[in-house]
Amino acid sequence: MSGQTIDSASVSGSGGRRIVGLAVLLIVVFLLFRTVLTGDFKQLFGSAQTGLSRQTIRFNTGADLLSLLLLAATAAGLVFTRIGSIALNTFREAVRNRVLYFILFFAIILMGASVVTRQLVYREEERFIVHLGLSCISFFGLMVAVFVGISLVYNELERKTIYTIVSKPIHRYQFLLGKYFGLLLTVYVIVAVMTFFFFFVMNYQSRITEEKIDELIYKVEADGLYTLQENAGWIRTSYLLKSAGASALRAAQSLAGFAHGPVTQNIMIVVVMYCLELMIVTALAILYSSFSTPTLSAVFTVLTFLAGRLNEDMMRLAENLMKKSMELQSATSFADLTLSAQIKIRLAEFVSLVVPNLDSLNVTSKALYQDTMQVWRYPVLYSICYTGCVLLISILIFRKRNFK
Amino acid sequence: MKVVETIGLSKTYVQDFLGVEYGRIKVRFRNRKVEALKDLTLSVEEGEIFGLLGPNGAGKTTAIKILMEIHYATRGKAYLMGRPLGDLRVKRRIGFLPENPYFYDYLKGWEFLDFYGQLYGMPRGARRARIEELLHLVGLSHAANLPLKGYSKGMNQRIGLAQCLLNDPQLVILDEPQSGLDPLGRKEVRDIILRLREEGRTVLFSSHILSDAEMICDRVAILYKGELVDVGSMNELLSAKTEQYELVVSGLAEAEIEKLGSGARRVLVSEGQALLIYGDEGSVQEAVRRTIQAGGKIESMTPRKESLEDYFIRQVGGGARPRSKGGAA
Repeated sequence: MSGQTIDSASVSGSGGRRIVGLAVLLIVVFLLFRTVLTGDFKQLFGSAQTGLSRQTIRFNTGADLLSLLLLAATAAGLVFTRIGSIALNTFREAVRNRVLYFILFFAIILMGASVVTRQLVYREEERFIVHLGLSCISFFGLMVAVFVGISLVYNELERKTIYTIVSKPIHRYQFLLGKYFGLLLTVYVIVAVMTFFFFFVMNYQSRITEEKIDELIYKVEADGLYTLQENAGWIRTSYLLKSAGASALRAAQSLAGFAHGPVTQNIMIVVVMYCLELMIVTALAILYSSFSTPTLSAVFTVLTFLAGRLNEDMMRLAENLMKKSMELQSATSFADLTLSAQIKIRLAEFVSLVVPNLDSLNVTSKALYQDTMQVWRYPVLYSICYTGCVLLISILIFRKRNFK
Repeated sequence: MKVVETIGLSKTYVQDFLGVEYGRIKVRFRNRKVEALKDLTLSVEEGEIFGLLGPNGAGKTTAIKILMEIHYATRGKAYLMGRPLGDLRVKRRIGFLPENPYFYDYLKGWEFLDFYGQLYGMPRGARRARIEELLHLVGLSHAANLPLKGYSKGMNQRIGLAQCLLNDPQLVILDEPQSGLDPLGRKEVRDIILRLREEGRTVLFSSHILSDAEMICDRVAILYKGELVDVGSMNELLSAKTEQYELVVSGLAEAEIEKLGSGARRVLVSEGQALLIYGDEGSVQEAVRRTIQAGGKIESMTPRKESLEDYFIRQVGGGARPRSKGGAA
């Protein structure tokens, strides 16, 4: 029977594929950890150079090779595994969703508007633009993760497309992980597009100044007077276009980590930190939508995000509580405190442990007010572990769930 | 070989406190549990078309959902191809079409089938060939490059049939495959189901359209309010003998009709015609003879066998007790 032959072929084929998928996963994990553990995280994004205007392209063989490998491994994972199939389909769904473009449209409008709004700022224009751009990336990245993300999982249940997915030979965890990675891919692509545009605006603005344009369109006469050149309009337009092209090129380079000024270097680190943050938030969105309705999930996710951003305060509260009660009760150790004080302190500590510590990932102000930045391994490891835990809980909930 | 086997399968829906899992049936506030399926025990043999019949809310879809692991059974066991549920090797040999299917409407027809082919782990070349073949089978070759968003209900059902045949399954499970289709669409689905049996596949399908089921099923199970009322082949369930005779006569005086009607179960008179229903062959022959004698005209004489519909109304509508509760009966 023809059914038998196709059947057995697909069985052996998928067996081979499973091994490939597993190997790829191992390589990715290995590389991630290697990068994190072998030292400066910055290396992944090329080496820092000075001066925004100087165009330097520098290759960092080790880091570039590693990034390429990571990229290849991710691509292979997407193409050859079932989780990858679902992830790619999720990505396709998101990309064909109009909501995504509205979000992107507003982000770009807001960043582009800094060309005008900068004139309202007295001094420190650059810092203002950087702040605006980074806030945009963070906010709209969150929007994508929450609103697109939650509807992606919920639609699957609501429209009952999950019925046919479940009847296919895949595990439920594969479905959930596929959704997660597809969503993460979408979020990261959006963040990359926004960052690109941000760099573009920054570059463009540094090139286009009144003085520069005046210099080009006015001619100095022998008597020291300035006269407007005949084809001033054309000169102006061509200069603007040329600058736009150069800025786009430069923005692409900065994004790829090849050419950095001190500012873009710091911004890139902040964006990477946002990516880590979004990795956690996306996992939370998946967790909540694995058992709740979209509105509730959106509210939960945003609230957890806010709580996460305030996490350091919670830690400080625990510390202060400890210090204060020690003083008030003149105790020498934690055990000497009254029970109610002990419970309060432990509760504050517990909350700050359970709620994701997004505060430590938020390095925006450091990037804006310090010239050089240090990136630690801790945030990377923390994000990966936290995400892993959240996804594990989601899988456990999803595994035994009856679909509506 | 028993392709599908369920033993005491039961499902009780409990309303979730987070408001997630409502039972399929409307629940009253105080009654938060709904027994959608009670002790379903049946088996489907290899190569047959098995119909799961019953009115809305009988538990047909619940049973199928449990088999497909969309829902988990509260009690009882089920086996597909001799293996307990959840075995991916079994799922590779099964095709499933849910009720009123809805697919990813942002995908084009072939993209959709290609995606599902990937989930089956089919290699690229095999996928492409199989998709072309199936699109031809369900008559959607012309719509392969259209997004599913633009598909009509019938086209949606057909692409659904295509996706459940992608892996060349040995068992095909269809939930209400004919609901919402026009008569032509219903016939096409029926033809495809018959063709599947010819190809040696087992088909399990649910329906509340009894006439469709009657025509193609080898065996049926009848569910009512979550309980199995009866199961068996068409011949076993329906009494083979003629149930009643319908006689239509015209050109008779009222007095004559009244006389004829004395032996009939029912008499309906309209516009000079009379419909007389008799319970046995003797009295109908007597009536025919007398009509001719009185100078009347016989318009038609139809012996009626019991249809699945009649059986259904007799069993379910007549307040019959389910077999399981009827003791040894």
